[in-house]
Amino acid sequence: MKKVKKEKDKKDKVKFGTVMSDAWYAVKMIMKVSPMCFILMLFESVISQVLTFFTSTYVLRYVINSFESGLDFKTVALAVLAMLAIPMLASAIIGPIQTMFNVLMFNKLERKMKILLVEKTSSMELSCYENPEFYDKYVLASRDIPYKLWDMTWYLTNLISTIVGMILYGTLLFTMDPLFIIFAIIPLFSTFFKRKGNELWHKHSNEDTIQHRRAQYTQRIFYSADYAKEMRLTNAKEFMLERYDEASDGRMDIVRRYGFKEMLIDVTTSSLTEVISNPLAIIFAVFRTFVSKAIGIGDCAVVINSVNSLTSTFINITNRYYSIHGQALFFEDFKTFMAYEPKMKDKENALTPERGIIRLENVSFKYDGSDELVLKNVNISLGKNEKIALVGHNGAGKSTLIKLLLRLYDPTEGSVTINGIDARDCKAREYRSMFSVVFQDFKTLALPVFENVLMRPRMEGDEERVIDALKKSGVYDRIMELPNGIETMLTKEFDEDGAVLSVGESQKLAIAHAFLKNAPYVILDEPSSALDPIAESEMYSNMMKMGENKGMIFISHRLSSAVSADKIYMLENGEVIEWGTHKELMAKNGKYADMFRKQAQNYIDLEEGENE
Amino acid sequence: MSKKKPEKVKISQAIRNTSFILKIAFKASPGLCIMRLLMGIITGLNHGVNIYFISEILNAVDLKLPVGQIFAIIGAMAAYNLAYILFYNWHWKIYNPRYKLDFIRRLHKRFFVKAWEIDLACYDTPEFYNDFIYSMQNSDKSITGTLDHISDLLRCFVASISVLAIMLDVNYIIALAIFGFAILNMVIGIIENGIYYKYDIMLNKIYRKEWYIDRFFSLSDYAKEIRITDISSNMMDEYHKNKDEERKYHVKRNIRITLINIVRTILQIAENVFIILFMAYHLMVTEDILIGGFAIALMSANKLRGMIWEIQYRITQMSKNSLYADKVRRFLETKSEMVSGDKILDTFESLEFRNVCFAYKDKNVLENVSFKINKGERVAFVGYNGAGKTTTTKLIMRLYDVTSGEILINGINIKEYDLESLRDKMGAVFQDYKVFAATVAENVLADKYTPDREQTVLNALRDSTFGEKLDTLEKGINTELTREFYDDGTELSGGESQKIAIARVFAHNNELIIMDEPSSALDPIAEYNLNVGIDKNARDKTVVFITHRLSTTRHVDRIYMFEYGRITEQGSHDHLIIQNGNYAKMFNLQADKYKVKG
Repeated sequence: MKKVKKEKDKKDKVKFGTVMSDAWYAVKMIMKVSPMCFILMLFESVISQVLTFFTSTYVLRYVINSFESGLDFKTVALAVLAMLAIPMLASAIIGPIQTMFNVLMFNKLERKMKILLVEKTSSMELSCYENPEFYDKYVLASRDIPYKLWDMTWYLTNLISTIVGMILYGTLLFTMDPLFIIFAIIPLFSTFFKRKGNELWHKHSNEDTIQHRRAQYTQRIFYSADYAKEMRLTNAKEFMLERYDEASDGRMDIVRRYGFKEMLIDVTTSSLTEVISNPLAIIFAVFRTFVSKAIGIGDCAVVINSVNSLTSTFINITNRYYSIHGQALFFEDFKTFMAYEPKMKDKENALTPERGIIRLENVSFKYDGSDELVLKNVNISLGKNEKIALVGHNGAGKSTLIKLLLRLYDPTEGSVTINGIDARDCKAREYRSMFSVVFQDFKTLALPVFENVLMRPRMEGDEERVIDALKKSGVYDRIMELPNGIETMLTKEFDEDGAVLSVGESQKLAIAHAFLKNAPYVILDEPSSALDPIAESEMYSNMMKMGENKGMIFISHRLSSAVSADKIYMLENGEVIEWGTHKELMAKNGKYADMFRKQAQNYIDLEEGENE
Repeated sequence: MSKKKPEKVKISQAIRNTSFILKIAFKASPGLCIMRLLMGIITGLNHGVNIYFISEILNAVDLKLPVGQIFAIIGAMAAYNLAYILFYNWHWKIYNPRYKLDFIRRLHKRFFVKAWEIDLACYDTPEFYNDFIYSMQNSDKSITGTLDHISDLLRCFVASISVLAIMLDVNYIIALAIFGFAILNMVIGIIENGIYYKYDIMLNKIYRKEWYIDRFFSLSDYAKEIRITDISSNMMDEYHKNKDEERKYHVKRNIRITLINIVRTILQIAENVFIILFMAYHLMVTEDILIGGFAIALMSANKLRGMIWEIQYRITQMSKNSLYADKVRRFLETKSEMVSGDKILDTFESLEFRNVCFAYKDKNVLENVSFKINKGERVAFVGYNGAGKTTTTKLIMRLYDVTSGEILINGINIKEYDLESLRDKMGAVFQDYKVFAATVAENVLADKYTPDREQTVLNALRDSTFGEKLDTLEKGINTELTREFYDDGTELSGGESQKIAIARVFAHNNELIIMDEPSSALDPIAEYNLNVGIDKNARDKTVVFITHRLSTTRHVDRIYMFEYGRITEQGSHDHLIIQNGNYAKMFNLQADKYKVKG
């Protein structure tokens, strides 16, 4: 059976208590930024509810009743003005204040949340990024937190003001005739149908998700430049159109199956208020006015005129509650995320590491949630000035090994030690600062060249250091050609005049950074991207230059660069299968030798090889 | 996308674009469009009808009509509501979803084919890609959106007119007053929109920066750097600077907005007070209106105010939408410059470039390139990055047309051939090979899989050295690739994907094969095995390699060295080594490191 991706259906399982505590959580967060903010929001919301009640309902009733009882116009007019004066004045003052205040507070809230999040994400271990579920649910989703907090607070203040409205309308109705409450209650049944309708819709969209994704995928294929060539050279076009049709048929089928049911539910929901309870309430009011003569014409008019607002306050309370309810899941996730304890935390009396021999002893490693060992019982040592090369097939575990070495992961078994001290006992930041790393996938940042090389806040004397590093990595001249030299903004991310560097040039910046950092150990993940031989050779010599007087590990894709290493480790399926110097390994005539010969054979004629 | 400024929309242009969209929509499904517009009118009228019923019931109460008669009006209202609810929900739950799906399908297929037809060159133009393709991705939203906006505009207009008409019937002064206030509100709204618009332009850059910083902290791309270096502090500094800037603009903007809000609130209070007092006066003193009129006046004013606001909103949205519409229009009007000929290419015999030049955006990529490749030959294109090798292969496949010079296949200009028959004879593995979210077999065939093609697929996979991996796949060639649709879909590594792409070429039995860096993602052993596979599979075929690994070039018939868009050296490996030019230099650079005793 194919496991079709599905959204997990948790939404309806959030309890009332949780929902309320989430709402309260949002309010607390907002209050921390500014208590005034919440108070203003609440006040504004309540005032506008009260104002609506007064202008559209209460005044109407008052005027008509006064008219019926023969009061004179002047008295009525003054009374109306008096009634409306306070809420109107309040809303005229609070509204504008709020416009100004909120924007400042939101700015503050965003920053506060940002700092919180950045702290959290940077303390997380790297594996969190590799777990797509964790990543999507927590890391990505939490970026919306300021908006969600704001919305949640807004929903909550709205719920409160709706309750105020309900009390106002309820009291009015109740004082007219307690029986009116019945008509306000009938529509509440519609929430039951609404819930059914939501469930149905949920089922509907769940079924639709996969088909919709299929259709969208086709769209992506057709419009993406990445696929443009393939689409033109193969008959994938027809194939993809067929797939699109299948997906569309699937969606049509779903629409057909659900349409009628959904319509029935919606018709019932709306009819309950608009066809049944509202007309009944009006009939009852007319009956009470003319037949039993229990209420006045003003009351009757209020019912006829405002029956919609009356009943809707009752329904709105449930609606508002569901808006909050809908957000609750997000907050639960966010709270879980915030409470997440990074597994890789500095111990209480963590040590400052010192330069020395780094050893990986009996290291085994598997990724979270996987049973497969990526590294098996690996033993490697790196002396102070040693150069070692890691070679092997793609997926043999070389990159993972580097991540363990950098303590981006901790080993599942075994240990990484530096100068005899377990890396886990060291302060992570200080430990990592012992390494300069040039990753294969180095990306320039949308910052000036200066900071791309520096990779830390500026200090005095940095300019010379940066220039020196750029010169050493052989990219200084190229940088000086840029309009603002080392202050040139890189990438076009938000500066149209930003410079875009080639892969080779970016790599050189990374190397410049490594020169500048001057850490005792250097790790190089040799780029396997398509560099031409000249560029490649230049890159290689720069890297080697940087590694002078340092401990150095490089991942090598072309064995040619491994030859000069002090030690070569050959990995296969997560195990070190051979190690030694190039000479030793060639003499051993094992897998390394085989690999090397296969690569070399086209470069070296047999005779040549024998002559040397 | 990455536009510097939101474009200002001219009204005439907006109307032209909108009518263009309507035409497309109408062509795709007239039924859907008519219903949608009708729906706008009906929902608009509904506002008026509801107010009318309430005013009638209230008047009947005021006139103290017989209870039975009042009940009859109430009954009529209930019946009307039921009918309306039935119609409304029938439209939204049954009619519209079906027709809309069908509508979108037709639009999409039309656009897909159009996108497929346009020249590849268009994709390489960033403006084209950013603007056009982006708008295509949103074309269905922008087209149904336009339809929605028009329908909603109709609704607002009809509702406003019906509400005004009812009020006119009650008392013309109050109708005029309500109308006047609504117009004032509209003016305020326009001013407000103008302010937002002005500041949006200024804030755009700030938002973009924030978005970038946001990605920096949350994407895994930068996670390692964040942990190893101190770069987060720099980014946080940038963040706060950006936020300060944002606050500055927000405060400036909101001072203006606040002033407008004050005016608006005062206006609204004045309106409400005026309506209540004026109507109360007429009810109580001049006694020329009934309580129905009195009650619905406020309601009508509120409704009208709401409608005016919505009309403004819709119009702004529509003019924004029309920007997309404009792009959609320009896209649909893009003519493919590549005209297919009518000669059918039966078998490939030879390929010749004669003084081919190719310029891309006024930059010469190829200058005076000439060469000839015969059936069965293997040639290699080598050279620096950006020397024009890949472009040459694209010209061979007629993904681009030459700027000057000519390309001959079997001695006949490439432009005279039927494009499909031409490309049918060619297979290519690109540097940026792609795997589709489909089964292994479908990926290899780039088509539907039928069991009778099993052997073709298996052979192709074996020769592309995918065999070993295939054995580990439980469902063999029916394994779903990528996790696009299935949680248990198989994700291939770069090297494995590349093998699939190579198998695709093998399976198609093409006569001319182009391999652009076929081994870049492969480790040495896999590279070696692949070369053996190519040898075996492509024995009687013509193969063009592009490679940086000069070891691959040893055994080809001819090597072409590209430098700055020209061919500077050509000949066999031995020949070029003797010549001792740049090729020899490059080769020796690579080979030197292997020249170790062992």
